[in-house]
Amino acid sequence: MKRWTLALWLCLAGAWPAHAQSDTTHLLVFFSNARLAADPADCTAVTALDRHVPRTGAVATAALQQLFAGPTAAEQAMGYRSPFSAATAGLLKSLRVRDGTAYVDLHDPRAQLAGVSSSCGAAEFQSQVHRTLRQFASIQRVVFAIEGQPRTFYDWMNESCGPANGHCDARPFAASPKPQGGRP
Amino acid sequence: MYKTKFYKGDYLQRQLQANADKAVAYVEHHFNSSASEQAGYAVVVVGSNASPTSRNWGRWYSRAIAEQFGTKVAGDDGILVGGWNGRGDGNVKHTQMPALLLEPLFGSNPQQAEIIRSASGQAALARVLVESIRRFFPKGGLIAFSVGHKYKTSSPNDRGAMLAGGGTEADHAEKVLELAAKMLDEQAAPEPQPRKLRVMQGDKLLFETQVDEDAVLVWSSDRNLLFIPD
Repeated sequence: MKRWTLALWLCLAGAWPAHAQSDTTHLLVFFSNARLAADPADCTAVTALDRHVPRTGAVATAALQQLFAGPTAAEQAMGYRSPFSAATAGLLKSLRVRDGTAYVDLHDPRAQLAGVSSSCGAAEFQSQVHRTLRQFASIQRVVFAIEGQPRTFYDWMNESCGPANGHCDARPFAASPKPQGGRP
Repeated sequence: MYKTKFYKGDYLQRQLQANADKAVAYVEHHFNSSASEQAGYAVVVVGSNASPTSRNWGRWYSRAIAEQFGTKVAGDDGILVGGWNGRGDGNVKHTQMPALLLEPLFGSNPQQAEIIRSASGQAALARVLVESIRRFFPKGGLIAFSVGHKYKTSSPNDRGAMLAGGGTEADHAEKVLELAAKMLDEQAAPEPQPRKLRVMQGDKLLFETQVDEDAVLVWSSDRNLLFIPD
């Protein structure tokens, strides 16, 4: 009996990496999945998936990088969908979090993500990014830019510049020379 | 009866020009897109300041499209007032006439993309649009057409989403609008109806005669007579 108990203990121990907590950071990314959505026509509906990345303090940056790489083939087989894919993995130019607002600066995505300026495409894009970033308590609002220019992004998305996007003020993006992350 | 004009430039410029031209209706044509190939419903964006005419027109169009292609309508019974999260609001809210931003089908849905590419599908889309215009603007007038994404001064290479299987959203939206313009332009002006004087008792017609368009009819209570003065 003791030998069986020992064998079981060894099996369980082997299934859980001894350094999992210290070497990796656990994050969530949010993708669409019509099979799991209450309303399959709801383009804003998203479902969380786990991601484990090498330990980092720049968790918001890491989460966006994971999101922009899109769902894996196995996840796609389970019905997860996203405008993002391996082709957009390098989309994030920089991220700065200040006073509850995440300033997301993108490399020009318009060729790869042409569909996200439609009403459903925009809902998918923004829901997935917003939910992924708002898992962190330090982020309540998200403002986007393309190559440092928020007006370029919001023109592309057919959205007016107003209070919700900081009136397309480019200054918060100019002060972020390299990726940073919010710390939940 | 109807005239059509295609407006180019950035979306604000298009709307301001249509206002200056006193268009009676404004239509911007797009197609929708999703990461999911299954998504496929009809929806219309109306401005956050949309009139009841815009809302009713948009709902009628969405329902007619859904019926035509066997799909459903989304949003608030077929319309998104102010667009999704403001997206698309600026495309139509600056007009002084009823205005719609159409998203009748999904270019990302392979079956719907086939419809969008086909001549019969484009004709069906144009027919529904033309019927909606005739129904809501029966007096005719200038109809302003705007091809979504295409001809923007600020982004001249924009063509919107790629269709599943090939082609672009904007090029096919333009084909539908061109067909609709042709249908509206070719519509014969209605035959002028002669002015008639009728005497009725309830629903029963007692007397009818044609009178000149500019004739003045005067009722004389003394003589108990309706007459046309010399």
